[in-house]
Amino acid sequence: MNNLLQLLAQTAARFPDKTAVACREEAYTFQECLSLAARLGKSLSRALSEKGIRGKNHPIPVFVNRDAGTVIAFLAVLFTGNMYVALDPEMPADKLAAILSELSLPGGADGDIPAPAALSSGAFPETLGQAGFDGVCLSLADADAESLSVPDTPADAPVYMVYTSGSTGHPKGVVKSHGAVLAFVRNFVSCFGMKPEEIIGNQTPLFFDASAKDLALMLYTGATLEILPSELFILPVTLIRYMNEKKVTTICWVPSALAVVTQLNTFKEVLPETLKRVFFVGEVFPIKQLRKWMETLPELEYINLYGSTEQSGICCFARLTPADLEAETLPVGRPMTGNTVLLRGENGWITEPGVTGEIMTASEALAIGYFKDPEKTAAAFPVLPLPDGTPCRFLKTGDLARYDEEGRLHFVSRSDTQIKHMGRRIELGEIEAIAAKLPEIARCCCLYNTRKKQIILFAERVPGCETTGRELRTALKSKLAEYMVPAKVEVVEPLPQNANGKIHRQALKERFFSE
Amino acid sequence: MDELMDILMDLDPDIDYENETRLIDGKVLDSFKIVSLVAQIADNFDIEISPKYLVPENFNSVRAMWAMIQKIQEEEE
Repeated sequence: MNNLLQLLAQTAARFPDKTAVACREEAYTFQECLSLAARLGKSLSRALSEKGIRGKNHPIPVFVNRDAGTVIAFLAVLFTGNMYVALDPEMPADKLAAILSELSLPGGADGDIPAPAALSSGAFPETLGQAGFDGVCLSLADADAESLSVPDTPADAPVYMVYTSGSTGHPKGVVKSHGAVLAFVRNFVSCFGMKPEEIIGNQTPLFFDASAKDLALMLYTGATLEILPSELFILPVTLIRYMNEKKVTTICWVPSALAVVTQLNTFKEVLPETLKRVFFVGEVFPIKQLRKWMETLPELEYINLYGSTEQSGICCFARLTPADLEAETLPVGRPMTGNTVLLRGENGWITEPGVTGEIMTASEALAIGYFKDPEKTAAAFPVLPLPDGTPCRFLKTGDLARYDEEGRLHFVSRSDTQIKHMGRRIELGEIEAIAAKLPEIARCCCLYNTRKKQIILFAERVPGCETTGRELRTALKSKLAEYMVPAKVEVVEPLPQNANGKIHRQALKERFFSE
Repeated sequence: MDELMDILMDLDPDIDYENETRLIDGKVLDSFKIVSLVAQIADNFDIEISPKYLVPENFNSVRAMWAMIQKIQEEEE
């Protein structure tokens, strides 16, 4: 077993007629997934050869819709031996153009070949033309009559790439291998068990890396992936009713989505009837909301997962008990099977409780690296000696943590200005870099108000500029993904400086974020 | 109503709250904003918004939100 399609073929042989992925009325069995993806893969391979594309392991963009067909489009790319790049169709045209230009393939007569093809389960974004895309657009309806056979893609070949926020203002692609996903899912199932009769209720968008876990679990265990319509999360009473109707047993959501349910007091109106396990990942769960879940539904399992986009799935977990609600912070826990997770301080590995260090992880599930960026890859994945002296490739997570008395890790803070906002990973530096390109802005600084959960941009305008903060914010809307748009742009002139002449972030925090 | 407008302006100052009557149906407010909005309404007005109120009709316009707040305040008294 080397790749995800061999895994799908195996699962389809065991459960051909079982539902693999569903969304509302739309559903595909494992056999249908396999055969439709093989046919769409054939159409893609024809399109690529017509464009003169040779070789494998190329990035192929897939525009993600909230439907089951998107999963077929991902799998179709894998049939051609290439990797899929899940893209949010609503991203601003500028960002899409930057990504597409990076996705050009090497080897044309005059240099690079622009992105030759893109897939979608249905419609394509209108911004595609603006972004200068000139390739073939294939949707499910374009599936060929002929099929590709399951390829023998090796475990170390790339399977997918996911874009994450980059502090330079340019999105950063993280490339994962088939082997990394397989290693993760094997370890996860050996740790938690998961039966084919489980129904996984997906919350995270399929262009968001957290959703890859749901997908891998479906492929590996034969469980059904039920994609929950995103608008139901606005009014969670309907969401819980829908989950009961679909008999969802397991969820792995970002805490923000779980918190919505309790913040809106949903359980006073309706309770989950089939749910057994609640995993959460991606950010810190506010204890107040978790308490409401655990006290209302004490028979459920609650598991805090910790991972990073730079690896497949997760590396640490903590099964939570009511006692954990009494602590100041929730534990991210202990390493999952197959993972080495260590804390690194200035003088080497930290083993004693209470001392803060950076989380370093090592496992077969680590990502291949950043797309077309060997420098960043080398910096994030250093080779370091293990405590016994053996050299090992690690991921430097940038997350600071400490051990508690029981030896469980607790997240402390970031070592940089990366934040988690509504479960999404955001580099405040990316917002700053993009805002600084506006002609009105002389200098700016982006901060996160953790209490109000708001991104605030502090801006100093160029001399004589009268543009208001509100107008600046409007201008940013077309440049940034919606979840990255600051809640407010505060014009502060001049911006406070520290002794080194740098913007005094702490002074701004004290002035604007104190209660 | 000023306090409610302050919360809304804080959430997104670019929305024409005075005239917008399809804040939910038109997907003008997304789920993240709704959570923040409901939490802030609950905090600022010191009320508990029962889930039975969480229907599009109560959030499609500022007027509807204000009517809902007043109704809950009366119920809680």
